[in-house]
Amino acid sequence: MPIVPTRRTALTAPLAVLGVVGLAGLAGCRDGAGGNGTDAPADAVDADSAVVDEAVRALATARVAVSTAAAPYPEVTATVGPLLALHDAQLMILDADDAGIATPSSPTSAPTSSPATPAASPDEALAAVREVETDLTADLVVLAVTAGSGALARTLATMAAAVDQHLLGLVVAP
Amino acid sequence: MSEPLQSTLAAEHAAVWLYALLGARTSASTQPTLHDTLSAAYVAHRGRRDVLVGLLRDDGEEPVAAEPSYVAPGPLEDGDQVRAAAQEAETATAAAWAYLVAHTTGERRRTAIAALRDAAVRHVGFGGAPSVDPADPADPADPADPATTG
Repeated sequence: MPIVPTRRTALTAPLAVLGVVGLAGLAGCRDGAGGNGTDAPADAVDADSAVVDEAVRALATARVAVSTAAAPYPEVTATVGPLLALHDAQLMILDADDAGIATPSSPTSAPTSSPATPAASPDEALAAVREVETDLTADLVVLAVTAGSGALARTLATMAAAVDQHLLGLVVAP
Repeated sequence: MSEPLQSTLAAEHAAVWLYALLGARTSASTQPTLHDTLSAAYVAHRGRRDVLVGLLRDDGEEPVAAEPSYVAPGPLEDGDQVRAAAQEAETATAAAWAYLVAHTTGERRRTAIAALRDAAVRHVGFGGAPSVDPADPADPADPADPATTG
């Protein structure tokens, strides 16, 4: 290793301390981590409960829409498998028992609407999935900006980023 | 308020330094795609760094300076090692921006979210696996991703 630092400062050293706000459920969502760091008032907690509810609804709706769009095509179903697993994990995080925030009792229940007609081809199905997920990331960003709690904002923002990562790999294997 | 901005800036300084090094270790003629990707990442991180400097100056704060040098996260003898270093840098900067997301509101939070998402995408662009929390260096690769489960 020819790189000799003039200071014993590893690249990751200034970053290691930055993981202070972890993805440890949403127990910290009521701590007012965003803003001034004081305890959040009750109405702020209620507002964040609504944000969580909306995020759960958006994730659950996207999950069902993706599953429905992919269903006619086994190759698309295989492709979206990791994405559906991600959404399952995200829904579990938002529905964590220790969050202390009311969430719908059945977050994976079917949405009120679904595509009326199936996609005509695998490519079309995949395009529909991309559209659903792109809309989802936009929703998550709006909710993250809206969140009063810094911890909740971080959680929702990283959820959007995780979806972005999966969108890159959303291609049907030849 | 300035500490989250300063620590994010410190992370971007480190990333800029690393990408300059990675670019220098990668041949533009024999590995043009990787070289171009590294160059784009370098430019992106410089841009993020400059945004942070501007925000701090807007607040009347003196932006933290870059360290004289840093330690590369591992050997850089081939393309795979360069990609691994880039992945590590992107996760580290994603963590920094996620921290800033948690400590900002409004337009600044929106800026932090955009930078977090960019870093997460670049991580995958350098061959990294998607994860449930792209800003958590300890987060294992997505167990549902066949690319990581063999």
